[in-house]
Amino acid sequence: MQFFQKFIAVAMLLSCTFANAGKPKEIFWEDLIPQGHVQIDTQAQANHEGSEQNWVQPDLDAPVVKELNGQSVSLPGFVVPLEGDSEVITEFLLVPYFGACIHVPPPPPNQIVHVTIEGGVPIESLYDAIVVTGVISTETWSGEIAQVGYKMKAVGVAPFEL
Amino acid sequence: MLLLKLAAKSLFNRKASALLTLFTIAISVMLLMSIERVRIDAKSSFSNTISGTDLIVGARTGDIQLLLSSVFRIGHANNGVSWQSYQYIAKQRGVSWSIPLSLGDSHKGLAVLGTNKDYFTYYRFGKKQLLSFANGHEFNHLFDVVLGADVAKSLGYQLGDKVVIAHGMGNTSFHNHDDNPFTVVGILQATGTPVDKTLHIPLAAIDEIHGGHNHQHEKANDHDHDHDHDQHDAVDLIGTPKQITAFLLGFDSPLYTLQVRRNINQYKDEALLAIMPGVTLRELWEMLSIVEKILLLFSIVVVIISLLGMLTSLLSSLNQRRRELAILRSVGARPWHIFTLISAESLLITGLGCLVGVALFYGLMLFGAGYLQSHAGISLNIALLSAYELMLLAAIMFAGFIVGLIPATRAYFYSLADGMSIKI
Repeated sequence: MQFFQKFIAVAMLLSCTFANAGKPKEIFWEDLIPQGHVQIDTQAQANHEGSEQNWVQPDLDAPVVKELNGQSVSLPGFVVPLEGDSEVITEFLLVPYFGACIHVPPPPPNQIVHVTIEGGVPIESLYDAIVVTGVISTETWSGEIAQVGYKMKAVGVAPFEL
Repeated sequence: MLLLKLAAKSLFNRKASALLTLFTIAISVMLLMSIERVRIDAKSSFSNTISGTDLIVGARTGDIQLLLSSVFRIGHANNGVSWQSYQYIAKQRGVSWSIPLSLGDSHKGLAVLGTNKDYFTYYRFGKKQLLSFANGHEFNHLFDVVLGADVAKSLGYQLGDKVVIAHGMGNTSFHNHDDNPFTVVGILQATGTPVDKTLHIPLAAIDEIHGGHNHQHEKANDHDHDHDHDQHDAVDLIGTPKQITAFLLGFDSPLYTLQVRRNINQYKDEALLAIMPGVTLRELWEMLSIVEKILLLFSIVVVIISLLGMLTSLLSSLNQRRRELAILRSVGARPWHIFTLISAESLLITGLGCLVGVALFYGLMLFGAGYLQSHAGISLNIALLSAYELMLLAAIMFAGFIVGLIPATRAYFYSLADGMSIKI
């Protein structure tokens, strides 16, 4: 059953690849940081004792790569589920390392992609890395000040293989 | 076709044992189907309960504990969140809405939830559906109550009825506050979630039924009614609670979630825990998956046992039927006819067993749906058989056919003489 679902996911990925008549560009997390921008290494920030600062503002000022807007890409990462039902996940955050939400400070906003996928995708284990294919966009929304981050409309999800 | 008819007639001739075998199979089919249906529906009614909420925040406890107590009303939180912490966090950048939840009181065993009006605006279930009113409107006064669909249905409440809310959980309380009756002003549309079994009252009213104000009242007895009236008429539905059980947060963008979650978990002033409902539900499934697998395994074993029972009865009947088979051979039936006859019998028993099993399954579902809904909060979906269930049935039929091949092969090798001559 689960193998079957995996197979469907791969098949979906393949079929859309052919439909676009062009391979989606393979990108990695470094490609989401604009060149020349000195990114604070989040892993180095890891602090298990809790930081001195009591409340860190969600810092969404990290710049995004505007050129990626609208491009069809595939990006590997780990899933932090947001929405879905008992079988599938329809909305999730894609992050560069597992446990991005527990032991270490979360990645900066330009290292998180908010993924939505029509119809959802079954994800067996959150411990497994996946490759998401879809159209990435730089999303702008307004809170107290306008903010920007990555969003992706996924068309396919496949298990990540080295 | 003729062979099938013969098989049916032959079976009818041995109806007692055939019926028993059939019922064994039917009951095993019913068991398997019911367990699978309840398992799947339980899972989906859990994941339908909360949607569109980025974080649930409560006092520090386990992730799953917090999720179960705050949203599913299973178990209870041992500690609360101070009102100051709630207000501080709700004011942070990126927070688009927040819903305070105050639990722990009950009305005839049903949960009473103290909250604010945002609950009716922002709380979502299923696939990001909002709550809607079947009747009436949200609370506007201190002693207004909004009922979940099941509450109104099972207790027969109408708009305008007076409801007394007790302090503490359970069916009865020795501390009923008859002096503070609530008026039903709204009844929500059914959602199939624990919201249906909840009475919603303004946050400030929770303080009121806990007697926070009565205490002041005793001290300044001569202050009397005027003061009291002022408070009741005030539209301040929040009041100044000392603490709440938990709160829900929604952000402008989900990208805030991870950072705010970390901040709350590291919050120095109070030991708080923030969970992402989607992640915690996944953890819950992973924890329960072993139980699910064991349940499935057991029901499959029961099906296998029932098929083995059929095998036993077919094999033992073969000896008694040597005559019958020999007569069939003598009137011109070939060995493969005999083979088909016996396999048709096993298929017939399994097929009828599946049919009766499905009928029993629907009977059980109809019978048990109300109970499961009211006692476990699982809304059963009494729909047609799903593809998965049809697949299960097909698998049982196939297994029954395979099992039937064993006696059929044995019968195939019985020669004509075997039944005719009397053995010593």
